[in-house]
Amino acid sequence: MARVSQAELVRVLTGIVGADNLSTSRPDKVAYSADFWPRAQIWKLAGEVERYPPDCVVWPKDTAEITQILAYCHEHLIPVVPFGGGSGVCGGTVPIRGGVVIDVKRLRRVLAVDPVSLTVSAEAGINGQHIEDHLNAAGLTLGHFPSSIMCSTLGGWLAARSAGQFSSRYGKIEDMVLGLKVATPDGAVLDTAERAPGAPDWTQLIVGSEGTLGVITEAVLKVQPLPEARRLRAYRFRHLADGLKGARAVMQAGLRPIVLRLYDPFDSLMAFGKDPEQKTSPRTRPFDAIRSLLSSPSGGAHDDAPAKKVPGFLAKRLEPWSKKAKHAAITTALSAPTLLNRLAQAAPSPCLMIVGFEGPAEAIHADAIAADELLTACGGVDAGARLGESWLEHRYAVSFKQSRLYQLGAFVDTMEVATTWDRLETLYHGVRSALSPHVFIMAHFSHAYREGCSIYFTFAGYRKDAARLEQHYERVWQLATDAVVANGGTVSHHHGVGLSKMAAMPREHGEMLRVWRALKDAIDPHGVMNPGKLFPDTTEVAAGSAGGAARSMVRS
Amino acid sequence: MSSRPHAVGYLDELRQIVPTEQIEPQLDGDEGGGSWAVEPATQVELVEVLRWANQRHAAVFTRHPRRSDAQPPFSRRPRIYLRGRRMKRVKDLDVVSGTITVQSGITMAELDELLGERSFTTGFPTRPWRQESLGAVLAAALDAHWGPRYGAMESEVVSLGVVFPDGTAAGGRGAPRRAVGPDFDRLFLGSRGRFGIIYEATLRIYPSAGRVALSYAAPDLATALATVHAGLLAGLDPRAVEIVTPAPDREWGKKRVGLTAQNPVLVLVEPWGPIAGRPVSWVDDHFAEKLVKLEPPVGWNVHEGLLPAPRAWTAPVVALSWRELEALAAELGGDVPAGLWLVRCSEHGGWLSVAAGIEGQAADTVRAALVAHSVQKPTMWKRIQDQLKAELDPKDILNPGLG
Ligand SMILES: Cc1cc2nc3c(=O)[nH]c(=O)nc-3n(C[C@H](O)[C@H](O)[C@H](O)COP(=O)(O)OP(=O)(O)OC[C@H]3O[C@@H](n4cnc5c(N)ncnc54)[C@H](O)[C@@H]3O)c2cc1C
Repeated sequence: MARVSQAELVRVLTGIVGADNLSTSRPDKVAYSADFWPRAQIWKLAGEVERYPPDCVVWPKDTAEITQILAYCHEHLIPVVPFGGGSGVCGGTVPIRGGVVIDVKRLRRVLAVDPVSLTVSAEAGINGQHIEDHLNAAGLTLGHFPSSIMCSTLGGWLAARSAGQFSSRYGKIEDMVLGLKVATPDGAVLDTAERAPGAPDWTQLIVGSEGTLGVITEAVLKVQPLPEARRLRAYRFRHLADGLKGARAVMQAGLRPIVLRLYDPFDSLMAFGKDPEQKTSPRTRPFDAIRSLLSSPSGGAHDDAPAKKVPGFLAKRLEPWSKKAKHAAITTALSAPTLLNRLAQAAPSPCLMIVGFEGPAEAIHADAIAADELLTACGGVDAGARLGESWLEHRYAVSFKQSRLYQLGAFVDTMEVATTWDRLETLYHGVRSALSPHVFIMAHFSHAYREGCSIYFTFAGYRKDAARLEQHYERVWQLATDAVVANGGTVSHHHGVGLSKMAAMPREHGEMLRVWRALKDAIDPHGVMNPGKLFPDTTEVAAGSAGGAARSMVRS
Repeated sequence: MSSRPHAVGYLDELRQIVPTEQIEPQLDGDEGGGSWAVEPATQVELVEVLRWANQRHAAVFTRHPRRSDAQPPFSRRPRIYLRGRRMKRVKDLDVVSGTITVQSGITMAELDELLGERSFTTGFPTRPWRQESLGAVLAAALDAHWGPRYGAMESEVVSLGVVFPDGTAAGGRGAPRRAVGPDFDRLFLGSRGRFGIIYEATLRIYPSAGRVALSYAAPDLATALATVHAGLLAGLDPRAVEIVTPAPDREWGKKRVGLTAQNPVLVLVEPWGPIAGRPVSWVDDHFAEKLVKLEPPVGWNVHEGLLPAPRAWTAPVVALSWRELEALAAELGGDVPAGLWLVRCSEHGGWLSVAAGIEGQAADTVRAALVAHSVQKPTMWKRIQDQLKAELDPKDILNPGLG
């Protein structure tokens, strides 16, 4: 249990994974020091390119190598951070205590596909699009389509309870998983499908653990036949409340749309602007520039309409402006969020809803008619198929670069919350009014279920210097999560917790966190797995690191 | 040393927590530390009883007393048999979201009636366990022989309220889905009261007004399975499908519903109802084309009458994939055992069981398949389960002896 030197760590791990599959190079350390968490971007703005570098990065090839690495780190109290695609937006993979980053992407095989029972078994490091391609070739689909599908992994989805755009029909990843294998710090590999009579459901006690209990190495999931047909349509509602009523009616009638999303007036205004047949309202113009700047991995575009290019007319108008003037206009607008939000709220826009079905052609035809009846009865007006189809077409057109707003010294972030139908509107207004004085904010409702729905907020804030920007960012998140909890919502529907929402966890779970502590003590008694993440009381890597300023047990 | 004075003292202490009429001394308690059935009426009383039990190192059971409880190792400990029947308050019937939050002492029959009056239903079949409390069902019956109709039992639960062995209450109202760490409620669902007492649950509810049950008879298991499987793949998307062969002592029921020696297998289907897009007639067309339609439809209550009494269901219920189910059906051929029950059929498989005491080769074949696909030996999780127990209930007061 002694501290080990960096050289010793590298020697031992090289012995396990081979020299080609371990790195201590600076570029790798920088690359693995952050995920898509906006706050890490703010650090970079402040000149800290690698605030929390790992001691080394390893790319094991199989479960056996992972168990050896874990056993070694467990014995020597070395922090371990599992790493999938690194597309997380909550800081889940930031190695705040240094240590070893285990990138699982070499575990990428599809192990078995059962077209009769409709299941797939695959290794956890497989890229999301690759598993989908593999299934498509067999006439199947996983039905899990996060906007990050091309840059995230199966293990990362399971670790963070991801949701795809079609979750209303196929569920979130936790609804699809039948069992998983997890390598634990003591060098064991546990199979959650081995649930003895009278035992709890281990699968759901591991899913969502964000790398803090072990490394997920394999999973068995439900799959579906590739749909014969798909249909999407848009509806307009005069009032948000009517749209929500319609969404609820559809879900509670037992219909299972693949997608059902409702944009608030301002978000709709932006979405309507994309409709070539729809005349763009002049009132949208001032917002288009901001909208295009907002499009970033964590800036709304990924769970939203596609990143929209600055429209031609606007480009023409902006052309003569100097870059500086443009930036000044945007930063001035973001400095007065109350005004900007009022303006946005005053937008005389209906709320846009996209609803779609897929499956056997005849069945989805019937589904669409039933949905139409229900939505019309709630005041919805059919806005045709084009908007829906355009949403589908562009749904992966997300930016994998951070938003250009950061270059202006601003930030963009998103918060995906959820609650039951009875509290949804209150939650929406509660969060809006809590944040409106501080940031520019917009929202849409997506991922609808029988008993409730999630709300996806996008917000942008600005401060003149990076240090104050980070403070501002922290304050905004505090206000946002407070408002969510106060209005009976959960602070995360699918992005997970990581570092960003950790402070809200005691209020989210209350005394239930005891279960967490017991689980952690039973599975990771030395606290080496992804320390300092998910729940506040796991911040210390065993006793030896107490007070440790984010450095691991490794001596450099 | 006689422990009688202790018992008297303990009773006095308990009386400070709950009124005397909520405490019923048990006959076998005289010899040891005392034994009482205690009926807390509120969450506060439950919390206090557990705190007391923790202090006094009592053994708290959520089951009926057994003769062996008066023997070592529990004989010297005060014993509490918790009864939840006074805790049956409905905290929130949220018809907007389609959920009910109710205390766990309510019996399934009471819950069914209460919801029925408001044209709602839970996803649980209620008849086999009418007198069981919701808490007992959630904590203990997961691996029993009846699954909820509309999903897994876990998926019918939105959230739980639990009291830990030291009397700390936890739990909240829940959300439709969350990504805030593991789902801690799952520790308590199905683990038989080892880790905490479920005092309240928020469940999904469904409108019962549009319920229709369609019933058909099939000549053998393979035909029944093939028809169900094809229907699911064709997107009929029913709320529930079950396959049943009546128990041997239910000949009268068999005749009544119209099952014959040629068509002994009952297939029950519940579509989502007329507003759910896919017309009920589609479901009917699909099944009636391949199977014999039973008129009038059997309905869930009658079908439960075809099964042996719940007491007879001591065999395990095991999840089988379609591939495994089809292999089993092929092995059985035309020979189908009585007392077979396949519940919660989905695109991926279903949960199969066969009643105890059924003899014959077909029943043996089914049992062999169940054994082959069930988790038999203690798994590596046992160590973790034991550690969780040691941490959450260090004095081992809650349902001790469960292992
Ligand atoms: C452009 C963009 C769009 C996005 N859209 C969506 C969306 O539509 N829906 C959605 O849900 N999310 C979305 N996200 C967020 C992100 O993609 C998800 O959180 C995803 O689940 C992370 O997967 P990953 O493989 O990248 O995991 P990582 O970011 O590498 O890791 C996330 C967490 O899981 C842990 N982890 C990773 N792999 C394992 C493993 N094998 N075993 C144990 N722990 C592990 C890590 O330690 C970390 O705590 C988006 C992100 C971006 C950048």
